Amino acid sequence: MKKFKILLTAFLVGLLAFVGCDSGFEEINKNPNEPTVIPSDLLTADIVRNVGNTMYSTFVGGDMGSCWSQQWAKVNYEDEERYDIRETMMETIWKSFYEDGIADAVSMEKLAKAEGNDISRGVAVTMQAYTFSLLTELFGNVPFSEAIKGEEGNITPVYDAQEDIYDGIFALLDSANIYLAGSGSLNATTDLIYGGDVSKWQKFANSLKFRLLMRISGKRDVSAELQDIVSNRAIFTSSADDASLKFLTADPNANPIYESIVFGNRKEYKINSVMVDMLVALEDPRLPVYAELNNNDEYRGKPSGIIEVPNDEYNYDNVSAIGEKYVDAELPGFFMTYSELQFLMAEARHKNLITTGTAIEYYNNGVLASFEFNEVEDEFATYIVQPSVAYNTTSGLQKIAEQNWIAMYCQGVESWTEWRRTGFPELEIAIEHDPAVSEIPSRYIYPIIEKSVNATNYNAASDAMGGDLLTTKFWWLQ
Amino acid sequence: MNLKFLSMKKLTIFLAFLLFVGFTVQAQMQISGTVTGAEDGLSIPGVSVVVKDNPTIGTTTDIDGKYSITVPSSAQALIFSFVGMKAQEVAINNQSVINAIMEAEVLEMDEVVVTALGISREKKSLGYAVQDVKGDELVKAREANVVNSLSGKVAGVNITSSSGGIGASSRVELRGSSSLTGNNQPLYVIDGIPIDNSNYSGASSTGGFDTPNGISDINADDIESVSVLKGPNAAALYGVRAANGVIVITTKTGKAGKNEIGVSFNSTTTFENPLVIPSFQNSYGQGPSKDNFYWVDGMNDDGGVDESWGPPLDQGLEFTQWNSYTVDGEPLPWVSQPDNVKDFYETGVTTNNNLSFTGGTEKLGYRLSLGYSNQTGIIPNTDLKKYNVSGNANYKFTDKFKAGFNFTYTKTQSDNLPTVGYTNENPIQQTIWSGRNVDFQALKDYKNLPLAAEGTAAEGTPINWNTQFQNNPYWVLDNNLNSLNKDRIIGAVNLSYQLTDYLSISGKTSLDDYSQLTTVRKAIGTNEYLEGFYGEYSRRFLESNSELLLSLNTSITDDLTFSFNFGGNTMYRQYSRLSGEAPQLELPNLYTLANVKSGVTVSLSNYSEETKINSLYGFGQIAFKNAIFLDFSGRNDWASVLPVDGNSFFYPSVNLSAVLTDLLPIKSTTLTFLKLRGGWSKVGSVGILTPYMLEQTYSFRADPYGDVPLMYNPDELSNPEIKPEVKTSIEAGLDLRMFDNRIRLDGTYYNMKSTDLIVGVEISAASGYIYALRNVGEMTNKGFEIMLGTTPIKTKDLTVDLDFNFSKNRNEVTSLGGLETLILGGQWNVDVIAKEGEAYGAIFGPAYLKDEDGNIVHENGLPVIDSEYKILGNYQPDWRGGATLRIAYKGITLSTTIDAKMGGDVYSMTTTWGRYSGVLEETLLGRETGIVGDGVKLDSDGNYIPNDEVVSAKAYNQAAFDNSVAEGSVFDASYVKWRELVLSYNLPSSWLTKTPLKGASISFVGRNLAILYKNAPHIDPETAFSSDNEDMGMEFGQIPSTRSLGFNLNINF
Repeated sequence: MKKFKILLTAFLVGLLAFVGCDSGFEEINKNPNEPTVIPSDLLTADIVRNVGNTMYSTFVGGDMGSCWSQQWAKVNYEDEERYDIRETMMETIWKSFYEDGIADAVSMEKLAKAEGNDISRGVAVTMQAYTFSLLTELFGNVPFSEAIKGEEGNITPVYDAQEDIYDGIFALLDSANIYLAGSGSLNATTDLIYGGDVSKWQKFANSLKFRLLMRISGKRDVSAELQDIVSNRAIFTSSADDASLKFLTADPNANPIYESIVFGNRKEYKINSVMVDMLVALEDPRLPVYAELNNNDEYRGKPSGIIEVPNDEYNYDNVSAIGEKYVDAELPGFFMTYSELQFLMAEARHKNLITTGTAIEYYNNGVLASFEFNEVEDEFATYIVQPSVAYNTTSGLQKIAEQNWIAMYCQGVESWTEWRRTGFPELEIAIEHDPAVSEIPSRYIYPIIEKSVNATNYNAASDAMGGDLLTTKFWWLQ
Repeated sequence: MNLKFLSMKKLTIFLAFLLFVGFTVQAQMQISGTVTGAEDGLSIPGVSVVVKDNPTIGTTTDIDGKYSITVPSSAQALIFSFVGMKAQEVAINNQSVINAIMEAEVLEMDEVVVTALGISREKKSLGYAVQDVKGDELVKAREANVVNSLSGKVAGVNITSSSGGIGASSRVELRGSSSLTGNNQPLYVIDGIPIDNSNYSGASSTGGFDTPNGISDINADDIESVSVLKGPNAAALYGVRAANGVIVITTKTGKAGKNEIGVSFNSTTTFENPLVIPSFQNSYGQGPSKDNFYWVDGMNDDGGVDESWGPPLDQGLEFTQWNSYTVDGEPLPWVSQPDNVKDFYETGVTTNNNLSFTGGTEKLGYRLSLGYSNQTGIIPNTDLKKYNVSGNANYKFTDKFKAGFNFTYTKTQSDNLPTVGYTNENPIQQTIWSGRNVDFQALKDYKNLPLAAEGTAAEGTPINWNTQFQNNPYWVLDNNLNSLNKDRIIGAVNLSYQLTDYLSISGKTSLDDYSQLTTVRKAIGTNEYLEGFYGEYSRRFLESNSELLLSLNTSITDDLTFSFNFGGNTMYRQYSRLSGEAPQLELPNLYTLANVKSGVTVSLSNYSEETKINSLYGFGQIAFKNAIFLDFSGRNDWASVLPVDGNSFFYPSVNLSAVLTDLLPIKSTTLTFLKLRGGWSKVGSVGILTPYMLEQTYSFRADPYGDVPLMYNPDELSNPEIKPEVKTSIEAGLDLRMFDNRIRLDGTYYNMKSTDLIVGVEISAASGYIYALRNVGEMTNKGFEIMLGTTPIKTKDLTVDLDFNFSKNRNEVTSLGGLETLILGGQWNVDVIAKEGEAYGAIFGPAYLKDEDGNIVHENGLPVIDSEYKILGNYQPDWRGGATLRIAYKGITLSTTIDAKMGGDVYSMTTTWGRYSGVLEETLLGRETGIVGDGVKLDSDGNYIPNDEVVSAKAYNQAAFDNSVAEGSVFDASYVKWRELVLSYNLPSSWLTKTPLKGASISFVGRNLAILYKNAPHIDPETAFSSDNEDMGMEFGQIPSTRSLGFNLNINF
């Protein structure tokens, strides 16, 4: 029996040593395929690409941007143009901006902070600010203060008031301005916007702040902050400073407008008659760049919201296509341009929100920059002096807004946002619009999924804004 | 006498005794004879022949089944005995020649089955349901995938063979689905070695090709028995791997102590033909309308329409058609091709040859087996070859110390496996999107056909009847190849040592190691890959298990015996993958990664993972009077895929059984045996958890941005507190045999609850993630299994057995943790989902709008589609049953199996697109007169009145059958199949006496002979795109299941 006991003990000890319970499991569970820490700036490319691709998707910036600001109109599948939207698109946008955009920019910020890389951190913060601004300007109240805290255990973030979101974004951009002047480095290859030129990121952060201050300038006196930017901060000084995503020549990395219209053969996207009429009235040399001749050798746009197209009056052949330049694979995906900044400064100067420079100078710079982009700058001198174009104090605001609208051709999201802010050009509601939507939309609706996964906060936000409709007016539109 | 079980000491005494007997002078007589088997008439070597009442006088039959024995004249009778056979007592009565016929010991009380860890147990003592199938049932009417042979034979096993294509996988579920997102198929264990059943199938509803399951690498000729441990109670010893039940396979071995060698040759050749092909119409040809047809280039004008709403056939009309190039573009007769699809399929041929050697000496037993099988499919240019080499040996070093090893090497090789799903690559697609006037045979000689016109989608490839959506199908099958090459070694070494009379120790270490290479070629000009494509996917898998076990067997009193085992196992698994893809090709017909089109980048990716599971377990049994058995087991698993702080889980089980006929005075010839059993157990599963899911990491996007790598933070929030899935089960059953075992009933009821099921719960994207892994799902499976065996006739020459089995499982998803639906899979606009309150696998999609009475609402004569998705069906069957009839008359045996699956649904896109395109028979309705849809319409007052608006057959079919509505194509998937027929003739042993043969049989064999009952039109309702959760309950362009008929030859030397 003693022998048995010894034997049994030996067996048990041996067995335990052999099986070893969970010794070495930490080692075996280390992921050999994917890193847990990477250089922060390796994330830049994917962040800007996701945000840019979503914004310029023809199903977002096209159907629910250019079509609503009436730069474009469609000769088939015209539902969105008539404000009958695909609700699933909202989820796509929401996920892209939050999960692919901001969440990665937050990771980038954390990594950069750990690296002590101020520059990279500044880029990360700028991209957070930019993407949050898109979200609030598309939806209104959105999660901000509690956003991207899933890892900390918060999967039901509260929706913040839009006014607070703007303050938060300004704080982000102020810190970005400081970080971008700090020490560190930025991977030039993965910076699909500036190729590693940090000074331009700083100009973008400050110019963006200028844009966002102008957005809320109807609700709050922002003159001091605007003047501070003009006086003390680096901002865009030429089109070379434009913040734009550099697309490549081929699918899947080409401009989404090309991907859809040319690569995907979605030729129903056409120029709107509002755009054609305005360019014709202004004898604008950009018309042949913006549109192609139709089968009648004319520039012919289509008004928004005609049901049951294509028909004899509006079809693939007799409505002008979007100009070749704007369906090019490498058309830059603009986040913000020098031209836009000049128009915003013209408006600010016109309204005496800033005191530096003259409105006409800024206005002319804005138009010239657009002419240069469209390679018609030779005709600038004659164009700008036309009474219908030349800046004057009486109709200056309208001219600034309309020239900005023209210059923002194919920048669907921003052209619609600026229209919502300025009301220019004066647009009519789509002709055969969805009867449930009584005016041109002023926002997107929240994605349906939020009603189930974040219901309490969704309901609170909806109540706070007075509803969750396409026509609900968020704070700065009130 | 079987010497194997004697100790050395006893052997010495025995030999001394024989010596003594030999010198004892006594009146003696010589008796000789031959011992044969009742079933096959073959002689049986190694049969023990002893004198009744004096078992020390004995001998064994020789290699030819002959014996000779000298017995005292006082001897009354001889007793013949052999393992697995009923002992025979034959009175001597002064005969000098006594031939004995041995009957197989079927369903005797001391029947032995293989249970968890490969431990053989008396079936009598088990407290849970186990059902086994003998290896010889698998090798005559064969299935390329050996698990398919269990269909209809084992209660509670739900097998779905995905298609009739070569290399198609099969899904096996025991007692329903237990995981929402993870694997639902059982663990396979061969000779105690857990083996991997993955197939890394690329098949889905949108294309790809299916590959055989891991288990089909096993050669059926090597299988001694398959034992199905259906529930957690039987499988509890596998702990965290046991949730889906276990199928234990025991292979044939050589037995020490026989001192002989046997050679066996088994050969089967079968021919395969489609079992079901759709019923097509043969009255209208290609085109959009009846008026006219004109073929320009197969893309423009009518030829570009791959539908059959065209002009009537066989009416003397002539039109320019695809083959009009033969007559300078002149019109050709517009005639039907009623057999064009049938003729497209070739006769598949499957040959299986296996040669095995079994032998032994006093201390050594061994077996060596060589197998080769070659299949060619019903789809042209598809094939699969399999080479098997396996062997095992066991050696008794001493009576206490034994060692053994076994190995299997399998090579599986295919030059082309068929593509499935909705794609140009699946040739069946163009029989559905089709012109009924097309003679596919005329496309076969594509090498000598002109090329498709410039500017068509098929430009540069041989002409086809349609050049917009489809390439020439024969060109596709010859050029766009899916190859498979897999080498696999499974092996183990085992040692055991008897420490004392009651204590033994054993150890085993095993390996399952394979590498698999698949390649995918798409020729330049392929409709969906205009620039061509080449992909190469290399996988390596290795799993090793090492096990130690200490076993204690003792009797406490005469009535009370006790056994206890304690052991441990360490499992290590490694998997890696390397893939390279050239998304476009530079040169035609060259399939290398280097041949990537200039300016395009080769896409490369690799992955590797490691997993460990360490386990300690104990199990035992207390038996009282050999009639009451209490079984208990406990296993603790430490799994590396789980968080280190929470990776240890305990899985217990307890089962009790009582043989009432041994306990109570109720045993009679009427009531031969009655046992009641019941038990409780808890097992686990890691579900979808794979290594490295506990920590957030950064990933590379598959495609870079030009040459800029794209790194991102994945959308799934890891859960450092994730737990394994848990399944608790109670089961109770009875085992009843009546009328001297002529009626055998085995019934089991079970109730299982799966909890902590892992679900990727959707969360607010504003949190930074889209999914979070949570243990939130719950599911129940309740059901029962009945096996009824009967022997209505049993005479010397004729035995008739009729066995039935029946099983019913009811699954319900009881919680999804607040998630409304969990999408498992789907095709087009239909999702296959899990939803609270429904059975797993609901078919969810758009239905027709109905009025209050359930009539379909029409508008302008066409059905209106309900904007809300509805549950249209569920792929889980209501019940399954099978019946097997076995008739043995002298040397002739007939065995046949019928297999039924009742209930469950299938969403058939063949019907949807076949009706949309006007190729199916039912689209003839109203071609000339129009159709008034059965249902209602709204009148001007807003009331529903019967629909009376006539619309064209085309308009009606295209509105009612389209990807915007699914209801019309969801069908009851019930079937009754004539699964198997084996008619064998054993050559009488008298014919073989002058030959070296010990036995020979020839058989006519058939599998899937007919579908005796079904409700789903055009298809075999047993179908899936692959064996994965996401590919069940759906069908499109199914490669028809096959009827397989042929011959088997079995020879033993």
